[in-house]
Amino acid sequence: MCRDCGCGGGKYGVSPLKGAAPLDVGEKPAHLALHVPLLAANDKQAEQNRQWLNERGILCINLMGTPGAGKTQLLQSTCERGVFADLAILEGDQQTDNDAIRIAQSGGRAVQINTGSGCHLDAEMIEEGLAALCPKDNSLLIIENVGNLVCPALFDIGEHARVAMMAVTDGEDKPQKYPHMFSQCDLIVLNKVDLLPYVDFDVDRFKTELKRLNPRGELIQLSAKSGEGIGTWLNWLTTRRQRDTALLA
Amino acid sequence: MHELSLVRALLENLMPYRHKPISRVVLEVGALSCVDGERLAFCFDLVKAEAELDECELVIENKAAQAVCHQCRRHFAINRYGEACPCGSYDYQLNKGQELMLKQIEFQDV
Repeated sequence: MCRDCGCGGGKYGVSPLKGAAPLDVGEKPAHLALHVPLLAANDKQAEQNRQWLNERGILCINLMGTPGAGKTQLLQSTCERGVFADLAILEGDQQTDNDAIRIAQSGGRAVQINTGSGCHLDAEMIEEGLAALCPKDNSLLIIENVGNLVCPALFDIGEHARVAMMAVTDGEDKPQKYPHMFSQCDLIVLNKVDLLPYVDFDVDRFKTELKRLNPRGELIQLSAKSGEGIGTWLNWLTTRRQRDTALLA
Repeated sequence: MHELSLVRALLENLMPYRHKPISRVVLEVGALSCVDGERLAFCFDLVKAEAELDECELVIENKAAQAVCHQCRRHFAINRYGEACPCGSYDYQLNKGQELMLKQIEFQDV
């Protein structure tokens, strides 16, 4: 019997992901209880991406954040430090390949994904991006998502860890305004701390709010431009990689 | 605007059932799913005609959110992110309220 109205609808036994054949529903009024996640296709592709990465021992980080947070600058600094010789980067933007060019100028290897009108990357785009990028086995992959604090949070792309990034110039209440993003990430990166003397950004209030939204999330304060705190970021990547590689093995 | 992507996902989910005219689609949207029901309905209205679903009504059922506290183990209703458990802890796991589900479809009498 159907669990919604007791109509016996369960007899259709439909699993729309597997059995896509048209149904002869027959009776009137006919309804079909489905209970399918709307993003099931994306989630399935994301799981395939993760599996592909796992088989190759590749750790994948989804770097999300505000437009202008300094995500590309952070990746450039990461490339310049040369700690991860095999670092591969997927760059997501609506248009232009400016970011991939910036990464290449810093000595990194990147493939640009243009989402067109899309406001986020999805799992299918990552599958295509991976085919073009061909990251090496046991390497580190960072995906720079489209600068947006809302939509990317909703789409699993097959990553192992999520990073939310913002700058002190964005204002300390960004996590409260966009709680979905900040409550569901492993690490929060606060960039442009070299500008703290010039802006009204209450670091204590910011930390208090973060602790409420995401008590288990880690916080790194840095300046991708001056280099302050970059070492902590590199250590976080190294630790995460060691831990996840051990889990995969 | 991810609601438009969600409408696209909805249309793809409906594909196997387009052999009969669909009169009603019921979605279940969690209170903390990061999806705006009104905007979702607006986006659906935008593509309805093109998708040949003019006669189809979109019903959005909102689902309340619930969390399990890591400190006191109790289940409690939560209205927004960053809200404390009645015990005062912010360390909890959401277990309801993030749903984004195609719950049911209904066919026209033909």
